[in-house]
Amino acid sequence: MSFIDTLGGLAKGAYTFLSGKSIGSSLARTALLGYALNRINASANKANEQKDPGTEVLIDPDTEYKIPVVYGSAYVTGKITDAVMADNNTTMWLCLTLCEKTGNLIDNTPSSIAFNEVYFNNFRLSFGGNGYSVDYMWDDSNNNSDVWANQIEVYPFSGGSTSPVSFSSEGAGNTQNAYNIMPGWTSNHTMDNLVFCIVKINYSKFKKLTNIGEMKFKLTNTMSQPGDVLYDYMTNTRYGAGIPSQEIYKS
Amino acid sequence: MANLDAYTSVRTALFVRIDVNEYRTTSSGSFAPEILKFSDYDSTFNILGFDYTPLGEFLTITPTTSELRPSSNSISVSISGIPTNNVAEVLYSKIKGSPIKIYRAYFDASTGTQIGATEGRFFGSINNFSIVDELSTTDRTSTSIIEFDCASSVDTLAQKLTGRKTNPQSQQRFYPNDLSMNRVPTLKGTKFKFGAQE
Repeated sequence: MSFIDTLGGLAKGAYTFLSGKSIGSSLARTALLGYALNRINASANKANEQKDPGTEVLIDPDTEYKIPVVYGSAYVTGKITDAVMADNNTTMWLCLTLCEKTGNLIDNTPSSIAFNEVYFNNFRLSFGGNGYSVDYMWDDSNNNSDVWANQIEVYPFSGGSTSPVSFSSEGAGNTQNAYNIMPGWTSNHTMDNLVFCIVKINYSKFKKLTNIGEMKFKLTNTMSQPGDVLYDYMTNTRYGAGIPSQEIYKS
Repeated sequence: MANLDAYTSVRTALFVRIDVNEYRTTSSGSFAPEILKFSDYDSTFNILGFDYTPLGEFLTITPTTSELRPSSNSISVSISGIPTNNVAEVLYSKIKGSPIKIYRAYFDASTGTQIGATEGRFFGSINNFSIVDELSTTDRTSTSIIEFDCASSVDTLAQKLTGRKTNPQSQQRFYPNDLSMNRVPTLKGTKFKFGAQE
């Protein structure tokens, strides 16, 4: 008879004893349960005592990124041009510069760029009643979840810090100037003729919101006709050829 | 484009316009904008609201190649027979970089009336200029030839860089008081401990 058989015999004996109906068996079961609960409780307390180290987030703006010009509809990711961490490291504020504001159409109507959709880590976001706090996230199959509800806020601007706009899918939106939202900004943070977004992300380990993610925006410019686009690109002195308009035969 | 079907003989003339932003006639004079207008036509002619001084044979413009689409060929404009003391005006003024426009007009050879509208032939800017002295030993006079080397606007535009970059220098080149991009160089490569409890 090997030692394995001996051990097996002991285990069988212990199991028979614990599963028995005697008072001794019952007391033994209670003692074991109490010990197990005590260990679990100690482990939980230890975990609670450990401070959350957070997630190391690398902010990597590009000083050589050329701000694009969007005509018609396009998806843009933009570049981070400012970032501020606040509220004991639990809130991240980002400024994402998306594209240039374009000039006038040939008929002198000012062009405008609308925010159609916004994606966070490839999930489309929809907003609550205020038009800037996320209420649902949607996947490609149109399934939704409210796990990030009120954890992310997105404030779109089209043309500068004093040009807040709403998402075209929302009835309401932010009306404050960008420098009243972004921490540390003053009225000298004008973001002239830029289309951009200010994004607020609240850290939540339990909701798996521990990074700044990858944001993508669908923009639509009212300037989409070839003639308008060519004229704008030829005449614009900021991002175009800067040809005087009187040298272009518009008719 | 002028329709020349009905004409058996036509004449063409070239009209040159140089917009000099800083022009002066003496070395100590103050700069003022000046538009130099001249043509190889035989009399003063008004096009697009300006009278062009006739230089006739004194003006030579190198031929250009006519292509369906705008080409980036350069061109030379020479003015000869200039009295030596007038050459100084070119030296005192800031000619380089000035925009130059050359127009062409068609005329009925028999009546001298213009046919159709004036057409653009070359739009560009002056890259460089040179002065050549001509000395006549027989009558003991000297004149000068001024030659302007002109780069086409097409060539200039092909090399032109425009647009903004996400850095403070680029942003403040257009909007000097805007501080929005000031933190970009500082933030580059910065690591945040998002959510870290202290």
